[in-house]
Amino acid sequence: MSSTKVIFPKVNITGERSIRFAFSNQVGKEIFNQVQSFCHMLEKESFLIEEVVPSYHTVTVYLKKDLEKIEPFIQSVLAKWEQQSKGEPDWNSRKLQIPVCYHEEFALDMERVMEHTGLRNSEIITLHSQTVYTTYMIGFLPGFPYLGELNPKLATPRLPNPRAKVPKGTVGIGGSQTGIYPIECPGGWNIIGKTPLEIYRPDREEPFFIRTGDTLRFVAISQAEFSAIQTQLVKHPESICEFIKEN
Amino acid sequence: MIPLLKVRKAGVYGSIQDKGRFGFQRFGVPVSGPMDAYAYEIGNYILGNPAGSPALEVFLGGQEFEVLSDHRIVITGADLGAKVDGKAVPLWKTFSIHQGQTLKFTSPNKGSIAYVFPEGGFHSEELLGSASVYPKGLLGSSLKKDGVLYANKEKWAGFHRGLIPSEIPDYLNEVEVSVWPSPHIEMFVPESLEEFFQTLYTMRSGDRMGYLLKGPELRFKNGGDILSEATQFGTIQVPNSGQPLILMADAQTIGGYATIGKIAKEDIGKIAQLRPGGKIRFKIRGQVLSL
Repeated sequence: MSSTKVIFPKVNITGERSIRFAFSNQVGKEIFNQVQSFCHMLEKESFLIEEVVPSYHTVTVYLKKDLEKIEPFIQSVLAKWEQQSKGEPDWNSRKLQIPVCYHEEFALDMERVMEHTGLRNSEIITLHSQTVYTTYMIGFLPGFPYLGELNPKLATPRLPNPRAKVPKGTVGIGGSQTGIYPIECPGGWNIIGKTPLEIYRPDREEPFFIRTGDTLRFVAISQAEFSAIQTQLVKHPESICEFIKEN
Repeated sequence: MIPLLKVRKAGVYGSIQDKGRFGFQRFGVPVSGPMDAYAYEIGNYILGNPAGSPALEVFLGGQEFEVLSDHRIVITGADLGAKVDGKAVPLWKTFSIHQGQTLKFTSPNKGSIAYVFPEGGFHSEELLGSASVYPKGLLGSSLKKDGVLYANKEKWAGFHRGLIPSEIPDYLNEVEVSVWPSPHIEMFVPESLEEFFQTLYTMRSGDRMGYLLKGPELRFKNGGDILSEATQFGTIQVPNSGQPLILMADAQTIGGYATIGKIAKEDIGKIAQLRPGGKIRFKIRGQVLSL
């Protein structure tokens, strides 16, 4: 966070146990930083809090039990937030590298993206893998990251007819967004590659590879590298940690 | 671990549910858990099971089981025409079942969701801290033909226990529910919102993800798309069609449609128990809507 000035959120009690803190109506780096700092502050005050769900611009807090009066809790949170503004932010984003094979074996819609963007295959791969993406939130499916920002040159409308099944690990472009399918599911995004990483695996010690706040980069790999990584991860699922580059 | 029921017919839908999976909504995993919390909690209470023990939740009937062991069970929630060897069994009251018998849910007489509890609850693998089945997230599997359900404890030789009749809910086809208003409420045309709170909406279809409603179309001042944000069990979402839907226990954790509000916790079970054709009247909770 470049500045230590905090935005005071608008507060709504949205249920017996839920409070919505809204920081803005827009998507942006500054709002994202505020949302992240606020979440990290709340995580340290967790005795009444069941969980905290961030989005681009809001933080929703779910409480462990019905409180007789919810306002004092809100007041205390806001008072702490004001204190926070006087100190330095204390969170760092993790940096992840996601290997992606863009080979035609996996990149089923590369032609369509080329046609739509007017770019060559190699240019698409370069633009897609050059960008450092920020994970704004996770949802829609378990472990599915909402990433910003795709290079606008790569924006391609969703498929007119979604596929009934898209394999897990598929990397795609849907409109102005890019993302990774954590599990096999129906999908309408343009498929441009596949990662051998299982970003969601409920039986792994860390079921979710990507967390909100992580920054990530796609690294182009060959089919041979794809197979090697996949084999390695089948033997040692926890070795996925090697793709976390720093903390 | 006692083998108790073998699935002969999976029926409309059935799944093991405990109190829910908490702490993973920020990773896109819904809380899941029982659709009708009261019927679920009371079932464990009647049997003397620890609160939160896993139960079998069944929708609308059609399920058929072969009983594999002598046991004591209780069924709570909807009257789905439960029969053992063709004979009706009590609801909200324990009864004995015996090896070789057939337990069947024949048809929905009242309500739509019932719960079955054995001694100690059903044995079920915990994933991400909960036994609640959420197939879409690879967290367990719904009821499947030939699957076997295991009880956590052996049969108990004691007497039978039931709930006092005054505490047994009556599942009505027309319900009134109160709503915590959403901050998006300002996005709706006021007259349209007023109509929403004055008209009966009809339940069209539904499952553990959501219940689709039909009624007067809701109109937006300037479109209903929002920046995606957290949703929860009971959130009333309005897609661009203008026909609302209610997000249920397995719904996604964030959504990009404007919401009217959230159904009060004590009323969600009433909606869960509606069948297609059931009617809902919405009331703003504890405050007058200023339009």
